[in-house]
This record gives sequence, C-alpha cells and structure tokens, in this order.
Amino acid sequence: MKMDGRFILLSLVVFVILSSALAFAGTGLSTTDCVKVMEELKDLIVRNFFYLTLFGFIIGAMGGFFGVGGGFLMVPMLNVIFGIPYNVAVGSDLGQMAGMSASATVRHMKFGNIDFKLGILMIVGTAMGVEVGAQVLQALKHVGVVEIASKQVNIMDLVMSLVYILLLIFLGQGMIRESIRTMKRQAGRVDLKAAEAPASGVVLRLRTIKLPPMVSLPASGIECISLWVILGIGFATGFLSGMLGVGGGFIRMPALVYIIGCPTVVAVGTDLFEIMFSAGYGVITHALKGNVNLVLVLALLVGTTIGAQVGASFTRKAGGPRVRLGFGVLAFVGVVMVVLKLCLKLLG
Amino acid sequence: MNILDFLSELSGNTMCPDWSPSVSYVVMAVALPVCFGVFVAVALRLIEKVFGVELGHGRH
Repeated sequence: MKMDGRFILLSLVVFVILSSALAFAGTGLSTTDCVKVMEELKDLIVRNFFYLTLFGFIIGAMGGFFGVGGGFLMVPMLNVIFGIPYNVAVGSDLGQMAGMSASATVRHMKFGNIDFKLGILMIVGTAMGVEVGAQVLQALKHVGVVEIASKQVNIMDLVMSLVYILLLIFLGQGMIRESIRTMKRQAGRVDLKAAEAPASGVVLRLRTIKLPPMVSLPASGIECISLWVILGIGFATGFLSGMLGVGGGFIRMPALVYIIGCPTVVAVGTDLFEIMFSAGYGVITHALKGNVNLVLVLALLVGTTIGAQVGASFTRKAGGPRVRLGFGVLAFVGVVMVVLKLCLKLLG
Repeated sequence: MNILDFLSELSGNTMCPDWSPSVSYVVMAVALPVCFGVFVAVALRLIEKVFGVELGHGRH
C-alpha cells in the first residue's frame, strides 16, 4: 500500500474527531454504576467463553489465511458482536497479540532476518507511541456520555467506532487497489514499472530527510538515515497499537520497505520483533489502566492459535492476489457492521 | 473455583475510578499470553519433528 496524502488526511480527520470528543466531554460512571457494569461484563465474558474462543478461531483463521494479524477486525467486532467496551477489547486484544507474536518470533528465530539495531532504535518511538495512544483511550474512557438526538451515547464508543470506520475504509480500499493492480500486472495489462512504483512524493521526501543524528543500518544495507524518521515510524505505529489494539504492520511493513529501504525479508523479521515489543508494552500499560480482561485474553489466545494454523494451511492451497482482494472486501463488511451498530445506538 | 473464575476475580472491577492494579493482575496479564505463545511455538515445533510436517509460522 502506498504511503501518501491519504494517510495524512486520515490522521487529520482522526485528530479532529478526538479533539471534538474531548471538547464535548460529559460525566463518567459513578462507583456504584461501574461495579454493576463490571460485574455484568465479567459475567458476559465467562458465559460466552466458548463463543469468544470460536470468534478468536475465525479471526485467527482469517489472519492466517490472509497473512495478517487481524487485529483491526478483532477489536471492532468484539464491540459490535459481543458488546465488549472498546478499552477492554483493545487491552485484551493486545494481550492476545503479545502471545501470538511471542509464538511467531520463536518460530521465526531460526530464519534470523531481524535488523536488531533498527528494531531497538524503533522501539523507543514505538513505546512512546503506545503510551500516548493508551493515554488517549484512557481519556476517552473517562469522558462519559454525550446526548445526540435525545439519546445518551458513550463518547468512547462513538469516537472509536468513527476511527475504526475510517481505518477499515483506508485499509480495505488499499488492499483492493493493490490486489487489482497485481492481478492486472500478472495478466500483462499494466506497465511493470508503473505498477511497481512504490513511493509517492511524500515517501521520497521522508526518505531524504537529513536531520541529525544520522544512523547507518548495515544489516539492512542502509548507509545513512535520519534517526527521527525511524522514531517517527515507530511512534505512528505505536500510537495505533496503544489506541486501537492493532499490530500496525500495515503501516510499519510498507514504511520499512519504502521509506527506510529495508529488504523485504528483513522488514518481515523486524516487523515481527516490533509487534512483540509494542504488544508487550501495550498489554502492561493497558493492564495498569485496567483495560485487560484475563478471561477474554485466554479465550482469544486459544481461538486465534488454532485458527491461525488452520488458516495458514488453507493459504498454501489458495494464495495469490485474490486472497488480498477478499480481505479488502472483508474490511468493508466490517465497516458496514460498525456503521449499523452505531446507527442502531443512535436510532434505537 | 475453576480457572475462568480465578482469572475473572483477578481482573477485578477495573472500570471503577477507585480501582488500582494488583501486582498479580499485571504479572498475569503479561505472563499468560507470553507463556502460552512460547508453549504453542515449542509444541508446534515438536509436532513438526514427530510427524515430519510443516505448519504455519505465525504472522506473514
């Protein structure tokens, strides 16, 4: 997916949504209310343990099949299908992600395709981003409700739904465009150079920033790059992890390849290394804020672990750009579900 | 008390303003997924060796 003006536009829209939400802040839950809400939530998760495991299996299978983490579908669907608050869904999904990435890192270790210098430098930006993202979610958790069309709507639900709608549209259209381009290229209908042009103007400008300190990355074959570019990429993906509970690979992978200039195999290994740290740090900071439900983490872990193996075995049989096209369509199905839930809340 | 009740109790009423995290809750939040992940990776490697099959490697 190209890193261009669409991403900057998306960031601006998200910033406006967040600012408006904090400006319209209402009142939070009282202690009596929150004890009742928490008891209901814990009961809901324990009662639906089997279905949550099954849900984890489906997301894990799709993730394994399409070759992605699936976090960007996991969190909104936990809210839409099971009614789990976004903050608990994000914290628990990061727990599930920490387990999955620990498993994947142990399995990938034998390949040794990790640029440790790049990974460690990026961790600094990633940790800062995760913390800022988690703090934003924490602020949203406590702002309470707002009245829209004489209906009391939780501001966190509203903001997170809107942000997820934008994110899923951004990812879905990117995947669909990419897969169609690949299919056309395979059919020989598109000029190879034009189809493979990886970098837009913004990307090229980022790549040539000469703001000191400059660092070299011998393992990736990069002689000189500004440290601020590495920290910036880490911060952006860390922010997404901390606030939305996604791995951020859909930003980090193209950024590592197109902006930093890593070989793809090194980008894959380093991305995995980063996910392990962002999810690990994310689960700690969200646990300290009370956003991790251990029963939900266990259900998702069991489901996604089995599902990922099943999904991966099917990829070997299917494969190709059509798989990516399918995932793009699935992202739009996710958008429809989130929009429907939001409309029902506002109209129902 | 089964494992689900134990984990549920450990989670506590996390949404309340007066809630503060216990050490066991934070340690369990990190240890549970990491230990589970490493256990799965080792188990999958073992299955591959014993049955001579190649299973998925996780993400990517």
